[in-house]
Order: sequence, then C-alpha cells, then structure tokens
Amino acid sequence: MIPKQQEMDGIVRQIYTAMESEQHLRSSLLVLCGDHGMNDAGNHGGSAPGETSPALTFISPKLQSTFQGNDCPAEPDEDFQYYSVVEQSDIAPTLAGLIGFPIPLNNLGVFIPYLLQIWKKGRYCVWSGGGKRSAR
Amino acid sequence: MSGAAEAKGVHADSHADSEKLDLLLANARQLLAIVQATYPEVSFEINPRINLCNHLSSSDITLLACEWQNIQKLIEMFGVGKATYDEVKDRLLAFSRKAQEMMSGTASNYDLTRLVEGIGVAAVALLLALSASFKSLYNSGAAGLFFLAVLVSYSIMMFASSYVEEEQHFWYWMQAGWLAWLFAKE
Repeated sequence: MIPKQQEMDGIVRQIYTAMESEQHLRSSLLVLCGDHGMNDAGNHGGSAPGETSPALTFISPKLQSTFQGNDCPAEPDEDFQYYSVVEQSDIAPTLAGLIGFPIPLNNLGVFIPYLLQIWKKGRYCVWSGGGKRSAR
Repeated sequence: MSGAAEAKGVHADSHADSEKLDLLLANARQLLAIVQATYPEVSFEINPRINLCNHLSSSDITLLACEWQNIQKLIEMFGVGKATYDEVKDRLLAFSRKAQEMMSGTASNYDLTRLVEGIGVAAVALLLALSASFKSLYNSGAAGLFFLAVLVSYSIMMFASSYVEEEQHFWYWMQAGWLAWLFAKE
C-alpha cells in the first residue's frame, strides 16, 4: 500500500513540475480524486464512512497566489471528514464554471464555494491568460 | 497585490463579483429546473395573490419556492446597490444546497410502512414454515441438521456484504453442490 502511494506521489510531482516549467501547460488544472474509498477489509460497495469519503484535490501552480493553504497532514478522523466536505456531484458544476461551459442538464451539484476566491479580476485572467496578468 | 485581502472580499472587484453571482445564479436556475420538473404543481413565479411564505404548514417545496422569490427580489436590490455581494452569494448557495438535498432525497424515497409490513409478513411465513418442517427435520438426524445449517448460513449471507462481485455466493453453491454430488455418488 505504502509503495503504491509513494509511486502515485511521484507521478503527481512529475505532472506538477511539468505544469510549472512547460509553457503549454501553464493554464492546466490537475483534478486528483477517487471514485470511492475502501472499508477495513479492503472492499468497496457498501456505505461505510471509509468507502463513501474519497478525496478531491484541485492542483495547479496558479492556485498558489489565491489560497493560503491548510495544515498537512491533517489529524486522523474516524469519519474521514477532512478540510471541507462537498458532494461528488459538485465536481461537474465546478469544472463547468471554471472553464465556462453550461452545467449539464440533470446535474444535482452546487459550485464549490471555496473556489469562488479565484475570481479576483474576472475569469479570463485565470485559465486562459497564459500566465500574464492584465493590470487593472 | 497579494491574494489575502482580495480573497476576503475587502477590496472586491465588482466585475468579478457580478461574474461570480452570474455563475451561482446559473447553478441555482439549473437546480430549480429539476425541482420544477419534479413538482409541476408548485408555481415558482412571483404571484401577488399567493403568498407562499406565510403558510404555517408549508411543505419543504413551498418554502423553497418562497426562498426563490426572496432571492429574486434580493438580486434586484443588488442591481441597484442595496444588497451586498456576500448576502446574495450566501442566499444563492443556501438555496442550491437545499434544492440539492431535497432532490437527492427523492431519489431514495422508500415507502417505509410497506417495507415494515412486508418484513412482518415474511417473518410470519418463516415461522410457519419452520414449525411445519421441524418434526421431519428432527427425525432426519445429521442430514437434517446439515440442511438447517446451510439454510441459516445462506440467510446470513443475504445481508449487505462489501463484496461487489458477490463472490461469496459462488463458494456457497460450490460447497453445497459438491456435498450433494458426493451424497448422490453413494
């Protein structure tokens, strides 16, 4: 388990350094999430807290200027509720809002409020500006 | 200009604010469309003759409709500068979360009385079957005991397991079938 987690950490590090250094990846967002967790036996399909609490992270060098960050690693919690908790269906409206396309028809998600802070000078400077900020 | 003060909304850029509210409003409208499709009998439009917010025995859906009307008035006030960005944002998010909660709840809308009644009937049937077969099982000795053990373990296996592929059923049937075949071989 630990070697696999270290391997995945290495892959994320690789992608992140590429996002920082490559010109064509400057406006990329890496969304790292799980579809489900697992219970103590290593299985999934039930409704134990461990199975229904996967992680969701939004990773990009551009987010560093907006957010102060949280303590990491967090204190262990039995119910696996860390940082802020959102519904899985919230991912679709959030991505729709960030990229600028309409929310899918029957989606029951709400835009993740934490990410509203990204809008400081209008959306166009966030994901399509290519790294340059326009002065206001 | 660092992110800290602006993130707190102290020197909020009004263009960014109205963009954010547009986004949240579009989200709320999209959820509202789903709610309206599920409850076509409730009108969400502002009707001066019907005051949805005054009913003391309001259902969740009428309260939601009342909240939507309040939000529309609040947005008009924001347009003329009489409401703050934070007020509108918080109301929109609360409305969206309430709609989301309500709609997710209807997806698993079980009739609990029927469920309990069904379980009661099944339990009575089980007791009757057991009392009818007890005598013959008792007289069958080891075979009857084995049959009873297999029945009991199968009923225990019926409870929700975390095996997605239900592989325990395979082992169950293999064991019972193999023993039956051994018996038939004699």
